[in-house]
Amino acid sequence: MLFRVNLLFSVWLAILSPAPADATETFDAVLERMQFTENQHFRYQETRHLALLTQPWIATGDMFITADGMVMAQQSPASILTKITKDKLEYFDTENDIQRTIPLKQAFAVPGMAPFLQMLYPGEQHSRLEENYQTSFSLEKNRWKLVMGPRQIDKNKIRAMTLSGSQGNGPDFLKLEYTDGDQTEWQLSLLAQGQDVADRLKRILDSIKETNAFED
Amino acid sequence: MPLRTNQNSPLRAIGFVVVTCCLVVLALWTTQLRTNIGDFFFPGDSADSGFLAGQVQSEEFSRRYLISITHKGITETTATEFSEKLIRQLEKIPDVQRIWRTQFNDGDMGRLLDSYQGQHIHLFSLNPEKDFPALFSAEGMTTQAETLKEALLGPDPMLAKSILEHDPMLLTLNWLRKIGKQFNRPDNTAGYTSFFLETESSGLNAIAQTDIQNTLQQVFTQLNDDYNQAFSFDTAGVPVYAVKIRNQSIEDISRISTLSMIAVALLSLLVFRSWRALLCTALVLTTTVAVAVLITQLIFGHIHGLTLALGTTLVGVCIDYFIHSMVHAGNKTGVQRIRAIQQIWPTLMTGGATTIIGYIALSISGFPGLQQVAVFTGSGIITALLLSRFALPALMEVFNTTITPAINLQGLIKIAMFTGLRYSVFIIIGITAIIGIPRIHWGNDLNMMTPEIEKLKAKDMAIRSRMASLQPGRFILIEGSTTEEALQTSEALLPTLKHLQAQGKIQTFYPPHPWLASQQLQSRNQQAWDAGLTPITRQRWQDAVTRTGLNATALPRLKNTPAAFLELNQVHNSPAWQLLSRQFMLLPEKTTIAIWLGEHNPQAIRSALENIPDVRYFSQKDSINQLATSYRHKAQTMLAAGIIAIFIILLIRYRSFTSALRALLPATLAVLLLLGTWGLSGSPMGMLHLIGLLLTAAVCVDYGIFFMENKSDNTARTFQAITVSALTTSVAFACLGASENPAMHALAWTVAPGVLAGFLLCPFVLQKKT
Repeated sequence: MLFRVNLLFSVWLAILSPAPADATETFDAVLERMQFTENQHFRYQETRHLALLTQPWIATGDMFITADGMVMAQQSPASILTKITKDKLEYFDTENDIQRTIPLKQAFAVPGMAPFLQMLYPGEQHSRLEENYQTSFSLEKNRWKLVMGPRQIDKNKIRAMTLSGSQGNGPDFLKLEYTDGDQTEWQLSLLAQGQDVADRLKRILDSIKETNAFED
Repeated sequence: MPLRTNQNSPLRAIGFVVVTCCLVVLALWTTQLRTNIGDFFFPGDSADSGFLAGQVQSEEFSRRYLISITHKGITETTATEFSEKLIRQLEKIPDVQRIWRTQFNDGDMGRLLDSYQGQHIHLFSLNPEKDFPALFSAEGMTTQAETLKEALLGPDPMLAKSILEHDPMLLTLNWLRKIGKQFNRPDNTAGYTSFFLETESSGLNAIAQTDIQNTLQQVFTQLNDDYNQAFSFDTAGVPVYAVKIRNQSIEDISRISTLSMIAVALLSLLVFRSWRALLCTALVLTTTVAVAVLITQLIFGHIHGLTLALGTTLVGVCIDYFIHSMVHAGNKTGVQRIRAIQQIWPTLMTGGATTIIGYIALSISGFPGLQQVAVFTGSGIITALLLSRFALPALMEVFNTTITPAINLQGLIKIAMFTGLRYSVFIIIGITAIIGIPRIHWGNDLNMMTPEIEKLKAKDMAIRSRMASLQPGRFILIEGSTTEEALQTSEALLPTLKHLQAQGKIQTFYPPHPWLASQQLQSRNQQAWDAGLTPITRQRWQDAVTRTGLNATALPRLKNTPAAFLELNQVHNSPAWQLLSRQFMLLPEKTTIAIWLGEHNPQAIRSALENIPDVRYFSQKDSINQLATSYRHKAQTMLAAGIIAIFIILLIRYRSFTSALRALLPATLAVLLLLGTWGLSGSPMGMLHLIGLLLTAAVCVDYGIFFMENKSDNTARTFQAITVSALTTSVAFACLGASENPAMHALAWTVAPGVLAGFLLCPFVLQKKT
């Protein structure tokens, strides 16, 4: 397997911190809401529409956001763990005994998903988001929608990313559109937040550790 | 020969002082001091040590620092933040060319894939005739189609799609899996962040590297202060060695030479009670050292720090000739002074010749550093002899130096006349030698030459072990007259290593393949691919991808091998070279490839490689031990050969077997006494002690010659001269004991007592009853 984590994952990050509804939803408010404040646990469903696949591909699993980074535990169709911290990405396919570690050149600069991670964990790169991406923010019915497109589009890279969520809340939907026409959609639902999330994450990691595939 | 009058002595003396000043200035101006330990230790006549020396001297390798930050007990986020900030600040240092982590980052991976684009077939297998048919089978096609789907649904479908364009079966993934083990970090990396730093300046440019190391430390300390000194910082690599050795050499040279000069000066002053005599001696000694430095520089193009440190003993050896001349000519003036020196000149020549023989023997011991020491000291001795004969009388005239040594061991000469005491001395030496010599414990003391280096080497290995799962200092060396030949040999070796791996004899190994393959193997892969790619296998592939749920019509068509073979220079320009550079030693006449090894059983590897030509197991520690043993054996031979050569010179000089034997006897007895004493002490002896014994013999023979010839027909006067010579020589060698380097201690505590024993034995052994 190759080494980069899909930009799609990053969408989930944006779902952080649901906040009380606000009739005057703004882009800045959404951005502020995305920033990490406490541990969170989401359930997700990923749907990939690829020209090379005869049918769309669907995966489900759990995602955890913690102060150190993000952990994604895919449950079906296969058990796969992805851990992203500031300086590296680790990928564990326990069923196929595949492990990968990718050092990151800059903090959370996972190819493709860098802007989302940087929204979640603001650092030096956060201020450059608007320099590098065109953004469009709109409100439709009771939902907000944020569309981001890189100012310089590379071949085989992301053409556009759409985030949306109900007003006053973080995103619960993400769509990534690639330059070759392929698309991936993510749907997210918040299950828990706070200290309890750390215990849930520990239980999952412990169960994976038993297979000797992963170590903290 | 008519004797010159002393009328032009002042002019000659002034001229001499001017020449001395010029020589000193020239020596200081032209001398290139080198401290590269490889020059001193590795003879370059063996492939193993040649590889080591070559690696150390490799320009690219030598410019690299291995930097490890320890952050145990600190959160990963803080540690990452710290190391990022540190790297960014280090990158701003003007002499820093680049910094890279021990694993490939995403940018590196992209560049790697670009560099290897189209090479997936050439590098596919070590056994293409078997593996390509397996790939083209129905089962193989299905497996590959599943791999393709897995990649498209994996963490980076974009990258997988970019590879598909040139590699529709995604064979590149198979290749990446094979090299994947290079990315797996060892278990002990927790709590450490490691990276490489390459400088623009040469790693052996100790002055530039000192500045860089100071700046590195400064940047780290400043940043660490912001984190309450939570981190620690370790550096290793050739530049660290270079600076450490340079500092140690300079400290040793200045310490030993200062101490030696002061001690010899004080002793001379005490013995001669004459400032003029001291000035006179200092002047001729300065000239001697300047000439020795210039001749060594001329022959070798540089002078090594350890040569200078060892060479300071030259002061102790050469001063013998001046002292002997001054004592004999000391209470005379004018023509009588010159005549007195002329009288002892043959004796001095014989003494000088025997000492030079000792140093020549050293130079052919195979130890490269000692060749320089031999040239340095040999040229110094010749200069000292010539100065004693042609310059010293004039200088003594100008300085109006008359000398009568304050020291007088007349009593010893009288005591030595007692037959019983003589025999007692012989019996004591005999018993000491008989009991002690068989008990000598021989040790390998090469590492002793550089104790600090040993510490640095241990740190280097600790840091390296945090970077990759390999055992530092042990590897397999493969040689070939060309890179192609060496690569072919390495490929032929891999089945053997895999077999050992299957047997559990070796945990892992890092050959050049699949990073690089011989042209022969690439060609075989290409032929096997082209042969297997038929309309039937194309259809089989389409069926396999369709069954897997992939859209066969959207996939690019399988093609015959289009790309040119992968060349070494392409790899050199790719990120792969970061990992491979230390495995290749490219010389015009041959290529050496190293295969790094993980945990392994050395004996099993050694046995498995025993009968494979151009391949051998290499252990740095074993190699250095073997080198030390070889040096020691050579030193033992040279000690014997040196003494025989000295004996032959004495035989030529005296044309009498008995006289030659007598002249040699004090030196021989002194050596036997030392050997016996070392044996009884239980302390290990090594090559350095043997070198010390050889020097002892070479110096003590001089005393035997001086005493026996007694050209002034004044035994008391002659023994006075010998006493002063022996004391100054002993003091000069004893000063080596002040060095930080235990190797110098070995020489100090062999030569200093040996010389004293040799001189004290002269009246017992050589005095005739009158």
